[in-house]
Amino acid sequence: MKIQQNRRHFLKKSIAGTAGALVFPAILPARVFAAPGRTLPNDMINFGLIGVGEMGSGHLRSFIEFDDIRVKAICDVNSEDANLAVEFTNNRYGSQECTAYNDFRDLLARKDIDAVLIAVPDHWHSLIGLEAARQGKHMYYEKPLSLFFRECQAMRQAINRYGVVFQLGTQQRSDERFRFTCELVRNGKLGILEKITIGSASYTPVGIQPEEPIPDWLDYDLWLGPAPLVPYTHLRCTRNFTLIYDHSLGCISGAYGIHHVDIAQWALDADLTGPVEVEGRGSIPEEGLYDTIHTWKAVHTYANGVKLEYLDHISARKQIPQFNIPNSMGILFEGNKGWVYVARGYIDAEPKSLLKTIIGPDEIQLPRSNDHRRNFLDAVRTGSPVICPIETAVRSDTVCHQADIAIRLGQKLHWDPVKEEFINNPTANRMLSRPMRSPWHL
Amino acid sequence: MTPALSTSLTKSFIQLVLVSFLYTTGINLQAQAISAAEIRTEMGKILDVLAAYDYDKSRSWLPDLQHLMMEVYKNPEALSEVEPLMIEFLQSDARAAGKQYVCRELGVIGTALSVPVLSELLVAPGMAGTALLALEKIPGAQADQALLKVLVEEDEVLQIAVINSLAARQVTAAIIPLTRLMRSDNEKLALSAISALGSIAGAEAAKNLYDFSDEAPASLKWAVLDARLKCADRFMEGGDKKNAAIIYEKVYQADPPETLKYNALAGKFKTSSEDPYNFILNHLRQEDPEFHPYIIQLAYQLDDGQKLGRIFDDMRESQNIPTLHLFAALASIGDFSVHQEVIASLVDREEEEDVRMAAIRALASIGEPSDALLLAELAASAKGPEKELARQSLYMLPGSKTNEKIRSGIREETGDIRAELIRSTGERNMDEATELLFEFTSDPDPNVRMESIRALGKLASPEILSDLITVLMQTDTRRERQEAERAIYAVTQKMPENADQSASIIGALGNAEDPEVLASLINIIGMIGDGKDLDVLREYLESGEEGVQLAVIRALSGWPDAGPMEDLKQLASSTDDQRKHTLALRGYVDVVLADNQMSNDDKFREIRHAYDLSTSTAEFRIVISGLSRIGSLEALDMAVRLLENPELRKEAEAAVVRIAEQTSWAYPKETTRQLNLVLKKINNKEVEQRIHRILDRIN
Repeated sequence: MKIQQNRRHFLKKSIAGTAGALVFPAILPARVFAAPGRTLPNDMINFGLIGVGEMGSGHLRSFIEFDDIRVKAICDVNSEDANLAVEFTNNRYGSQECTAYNDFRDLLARKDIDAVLIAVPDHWHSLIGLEAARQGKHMYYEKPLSLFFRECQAMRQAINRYGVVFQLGTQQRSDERFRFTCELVRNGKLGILEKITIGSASYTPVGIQPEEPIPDWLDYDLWLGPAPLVPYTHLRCTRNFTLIYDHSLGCISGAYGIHHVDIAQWALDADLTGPVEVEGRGSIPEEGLYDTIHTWKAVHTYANGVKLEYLDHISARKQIPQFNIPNSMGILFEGNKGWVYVARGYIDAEPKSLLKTIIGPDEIQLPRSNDHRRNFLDAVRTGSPVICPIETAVRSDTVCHQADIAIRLGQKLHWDPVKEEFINNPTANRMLSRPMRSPWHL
Repeated sequence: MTPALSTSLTKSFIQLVLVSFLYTTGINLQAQAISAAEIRTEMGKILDVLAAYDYDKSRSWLPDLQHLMMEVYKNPEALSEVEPLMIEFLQSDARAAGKQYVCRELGVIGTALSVPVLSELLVAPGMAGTALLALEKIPGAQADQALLKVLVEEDEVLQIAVINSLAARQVTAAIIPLTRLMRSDNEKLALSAISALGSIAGAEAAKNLYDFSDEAPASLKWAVLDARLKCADRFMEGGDKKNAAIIYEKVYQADPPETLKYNALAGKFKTSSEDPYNFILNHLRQEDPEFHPYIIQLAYQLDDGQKLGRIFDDMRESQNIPTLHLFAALASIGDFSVHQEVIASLVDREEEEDVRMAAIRALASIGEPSDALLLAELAASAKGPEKELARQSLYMLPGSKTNEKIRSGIREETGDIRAELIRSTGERNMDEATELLFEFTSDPDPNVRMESIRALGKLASPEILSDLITVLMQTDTRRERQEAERAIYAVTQKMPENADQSASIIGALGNAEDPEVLASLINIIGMIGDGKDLDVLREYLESGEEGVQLAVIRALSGWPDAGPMEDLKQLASSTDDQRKHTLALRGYVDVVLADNQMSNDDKFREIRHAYDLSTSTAEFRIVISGLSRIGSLEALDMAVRLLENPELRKEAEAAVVRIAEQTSWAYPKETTRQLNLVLKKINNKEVEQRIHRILDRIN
């Protein structure tokens, strides 16, 4: 196997400037030691879930299927969701061992919890991640990594400082089609790669939303956390928080886009770097609650000249024939010898023979994971590297921030991937952070 | 709610200049320059509207504000025109919601000019958070001073907010007051101050934190150590190894929680002059085994020349060698020195599953050619995930010498090990093994034969297609024949697009005496689907062998276009044999749907005809499933009408959703009308949800 980038180099580079390594183990609290010279890993990973809304409850149903974890604690500011999830868990176990929490800090303070899922609104991701790392909890962390770029750096520093396992929930790296596509690109099967086009999700705007009474099952102040104080309206606190700029970058990041950006980065072997130039145009809805970028086209340029055109899929299907299929949320890689279009559950190529390509052991083979959660649990148990570690999370998130900022500024921007800042553009650099509502802070 | 105020003038002005280009032209188009005075005028209009804004009112001004701000960002002259307007706005009695938006913009463009008004806002009741949206990000000493001034306020919430902003800004002038607050009786304030000192860092902050270490109450102790470690990390970033090393060592000796201890250890490792191998070994020997996994993480920071495999020998006397973690870490960094130990654990049949799995996984990275046989043996004998992992490691084991070992192993080994080795040739793309594989297609062991045929499908070139056809003709079992069909088809797909892919197979038809072989060849012709072969297949449709007839129907059914449509339609109309009728009907539907040239109208007409030919519920369901793939209003209408049939309602509901998903793009109004009708007819929550999602998207 020819690994284009030695893993040792990858890991060393990824921790440059900070302490610590990329991933690691330590189910220490319950570790058992047996015969001389042999370590018996303990049987169970004590697991907690923070956020059991639509996404988190799906994770619960999946994680609970693994026989080497035990779900011990569930936290949500929506007490109905938390209680339902606890009831489901305890019914499944036939016990009362799982406990509900309202405040994530109480769950994370438990010494017996080894690992957690973090599936909360984007504006909360990094703060809960930082506290989890401080408390020594390994984490499966729903994408995106951040609401604003400085959170990426804070998370990287924390993960590296405290030595916990971190897996970003960009699970397409654990999907064979996407891995195969990246291997085709990396091994030059498309010839010289010329362009990548991403069709991300789009959304339907809604109108003005009236202020509503806060339901008694919701701790709204804690739901808002570091986000600006605004009155309650129920749509804000559904999964559609992703479409509101106070809480998310929308389809350009956490609402789907980050998944495909992450694959583009993987295909380009850009997990330690990223585009050096970006420009774009986009629009937000004329009215209503949702105010993230709605339709857009951003063009990123990598140092090797490859262009990444990043669009919403409605625009993509209007402009590019390969996207004019039912699953138009996909990625198109174009080289001078052919193209590959890949989406969830779908892959196509020209010439078709590309799809029959066998990547041999002396070619570039990417790490294999066929189950993103299992890959995380294996890392927790054994110390094996995860497939979406913190450094790749930082770099993929960066691409999304670049697009959002370039569109909002309406300028061509130049990025220094080493210093991680825009070059000669203080205005753009000021958009890399957002003040948090007190008392929350990085 | 009051109606939204209009900013139509602004909107038309800005959009005319900037927006309309988005999808009609390239993104490099430069907007027409707008003068600073014009920007000022337009901003004034937007702020007038914004003054009355509240969260439950129209925010139709926002796109205009964003477009206008794009001009401000790139025009310093415009900035000096706009900032005073924003300051004036903050001084006005505009609502808090509007001020929040303005403060966000000042966070990006604001200068020292805005600091006084933001300072006032900072202490206004309920407005601190809004003020900090700007103040925290405005560069310069004026903003620092404005924040520092508030530190003395007797307001805990405000103080903490300001402390956090000072930390984010890394204001060194805050170190003295923060040091004072660190000793506050108010624990929240003290914790905030300690954390901020860690963020600001530097020699002074580090010293003050150190001075406080001993006197800090227990509840603050770990926070102080954490802040000191942040200072040490910053010393390292600045190249001051000496001061960093002192902190790392002292924190390590304080026996903090494991996360901090790991941070200190990693710092010690980077600043130590000790040989890295000895450093890791000594710490493994000295530390509690529970901390070993953290120590092993240091391996990721080693230079390529460092080898850690000898650690097993050097710790042989120890009760606790962290084997599992060493295997995983050293394999990940490509440290071949662990190879011997990995092999030993597998040969000795390590009892612990995790360790065994880590060893197998390690071989994918650090294995040697000779390990191919061991991995094949493991793949042959293990079950479940371990079997799959052994296979994957075998497939990834590098080098041409490994391929040589596999080829010789295929000859020397037998049974399941031989089968695994053969299987690996396909996955490893060993095209030099094809001759060898042909030999083993007649092996007595059926697994070996199957794997040989499968691997040939991956590796064989079109030049030896006839040999593969011979293999098909000699197969004994249905499984092998099916595998050979797949293999032959795969090889035909390697031919150039203009080649006659089916020639060899058609040529072989005459030699096929066994009807099952004949059926297999027909199947392959169907998979290839070349129009010129239809007449050949039609001949066999008249065959006296039922198996051959059925094979032809299946072959026609899998055709990539509507070429055999009439044959299948005719058969479905005329046959009395129910099995053939259903097969032909299914094929009729399939080829209609597969055809890229046929219009939706034509497809619908044929599917409608297929529906009329259906004679059983199962057949109706087949047709409805096909109907659901036609994105036309006629198809939608038919699906809606089929909801009335209780036996077919479930399929009809699914078809309605699927068709509507397609028609919603081109015919949003008509689709909406039909879906609203459907919502009144059905009582299926899941389907209703899906329909609402389509309607949401349309509207």
